[in-house]
Amino acid sequence: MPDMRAFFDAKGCAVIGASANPTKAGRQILANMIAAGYDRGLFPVNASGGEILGLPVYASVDAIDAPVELVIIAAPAAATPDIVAQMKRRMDERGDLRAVVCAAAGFAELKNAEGEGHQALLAGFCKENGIRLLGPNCVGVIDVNNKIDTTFIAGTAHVPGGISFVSQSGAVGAWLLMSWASMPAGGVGFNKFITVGNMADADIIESLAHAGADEATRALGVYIEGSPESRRLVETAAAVARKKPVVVLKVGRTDEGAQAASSHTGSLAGSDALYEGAFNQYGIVRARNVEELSDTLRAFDALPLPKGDGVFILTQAGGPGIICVDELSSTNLFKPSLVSDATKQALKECLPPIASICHPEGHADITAAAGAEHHVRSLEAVLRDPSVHAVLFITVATLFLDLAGMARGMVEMIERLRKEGIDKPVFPAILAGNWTQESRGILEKAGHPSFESPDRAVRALVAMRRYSLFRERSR
Amino acid sequence: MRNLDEFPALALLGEIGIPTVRYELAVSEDQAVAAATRIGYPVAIKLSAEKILHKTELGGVALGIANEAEVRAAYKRLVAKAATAGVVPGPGGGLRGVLVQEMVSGGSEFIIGGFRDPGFGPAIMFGLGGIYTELFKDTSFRLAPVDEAEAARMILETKAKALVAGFRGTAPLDLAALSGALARLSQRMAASDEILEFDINPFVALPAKDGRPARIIALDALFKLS
Repeated sequence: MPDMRAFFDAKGCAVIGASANPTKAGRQILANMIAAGYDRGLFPVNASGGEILGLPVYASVDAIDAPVELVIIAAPAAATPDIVAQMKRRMDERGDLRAVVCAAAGFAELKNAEGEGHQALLAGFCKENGIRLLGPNCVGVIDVNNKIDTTFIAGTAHVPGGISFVSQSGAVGAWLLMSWASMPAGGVGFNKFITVGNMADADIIESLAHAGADEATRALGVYIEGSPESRRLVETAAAVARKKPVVVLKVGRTDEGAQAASSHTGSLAGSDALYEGAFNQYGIVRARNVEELSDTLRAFDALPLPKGDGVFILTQAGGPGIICVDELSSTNLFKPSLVSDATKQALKECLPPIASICHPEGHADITAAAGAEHHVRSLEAVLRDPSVHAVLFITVATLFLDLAGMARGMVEMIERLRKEGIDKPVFPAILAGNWTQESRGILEKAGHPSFESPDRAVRALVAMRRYSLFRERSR
Repeated sequence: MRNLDEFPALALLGEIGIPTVRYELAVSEDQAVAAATRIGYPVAIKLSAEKILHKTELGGVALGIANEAEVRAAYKRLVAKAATAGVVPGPGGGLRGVLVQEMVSGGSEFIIGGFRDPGFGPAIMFGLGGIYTELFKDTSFRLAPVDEAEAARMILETKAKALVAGFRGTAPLDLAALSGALARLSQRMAASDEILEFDINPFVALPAKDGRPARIIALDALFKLS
């Protein structure tokens, strides 16, 4: 069988079950294809004819008088025999179909003879004709660089970036994309997005290998519930992790392995414990929830890996700084940066007199008296110190702090240091909520991720440190 | 599929290169006394029979045997216990004899296990041993095989990390020896389908003391072979 590229680079796309009704998936898919900028030929198919979103509607796939390489099915499962007949006529006449994304539900996931029969009919036809099938019962694919979005997810921001995400759950995929579209900058950039549904043909393992091998992918996210081929799944992810970070959200802590085993060891082993061990073994980062998955992927995509264990906490307030310290102390991965006397002097000179500098080491409380300039200059002083490998930057909005000016100053300064060859990850948590959207937006639009809370910033840093240690030892 | 009880299990461990407790099989009172003399008192004496996998529940273990008279008494008592379970000496009787073993006291107890998961295939486990194994479930897992460096990381993922470094004034444990044992077992699991499951429990690590080097010792083991 050909590889999965036909799902992304197809020339000509027919949408079966296209609809003018805004409450139908068949309309949202067309709208998403248009929003993504798909310009290789988009053809709504529906027996009722007419026009949808300005596009003429075709009565069947074989009636389209232009190349069609991809078919998206959003019609009820009961229509499968008719849809397969249409596709068969097209293959007999033009033979140009390469891929089918079946978004419709009502197939083998129902675990009844009718649903399984429809799936077998569709999958069998595709296989005989060398056509790749995604689904049924999947949300579909997005490829921002290839300007294609076969999903019915509402409001995706089609911003190019280095994150790819493959998911066994369409809903978790939609959750992530909708969250990203709601971020302060108006959209987190990404590359490929794949949901696999019933996996009648393309499965989660092939999908993660495909997205991972894509050169535009800088960080790969995976949501899995489990796989009967768990070893092949983990080893495939491991092959990607040797080159670029892989972040996995694995759910479902079932213990079928434990029930099957009779020994003492077996009673302690569940499949989840094995996934955990295998992730540690192969440098695969595990996220505990969707928020952590998102934070970690954004950090990996945008930030350089920390080159050591020295971390500096630059905070404008006591409490949030302690939250950082607590979260850091749950790992043994870091040491407070022991900055030089010259750095301490530089901090003293650029901060308000009441600032607490390096008591304890690796920590400066610049206090609520600090203005935008104090924030930027102290961050620069810390970044210039060789003992600092990463900075946690915490500030709380006050009405007299010019957050937007601070954010612009940070972007300018970080980019200036990069040109000097000083490129270290900064993890900003600008608190909180709607008060900080503008400043976070300025940072993120310039490619600097920000975090909702100090502990979430720390966890993103921890994930990056673990991965950089893995890369160092597997060199 | 067959289970190996302690005696052949210890022999298999020796073959894999895992240090075990010193032991001898004895099929008579006199042999037991001679074995105990060679090993040095105190010793442990355990029933050895293919069918008896859980000796303690049957009362088939005598610990802290200090002299010849105690060896003879323990031998008689254990053989009588075996008889109540229908296990007797002689051809077809099922009783192989008794194992005479050195007594190991002190040290840290760990559990090392191996098994085959339907999806993951061969895998190994390391954890804190002793009576709290199942309570705390302080374990870590890896897919087999692993090398020594990975085995060491696996050990250090558990609270054994504190024990390895030396805990409450004891000397550090031999991490390299523990990691080596774990790595060799994982490699044996992966090399063929011969071993379906095994448990080494307890696996004892003794710190260096009074000029004697640190030592690791498998005290008891079970294997399930294909």
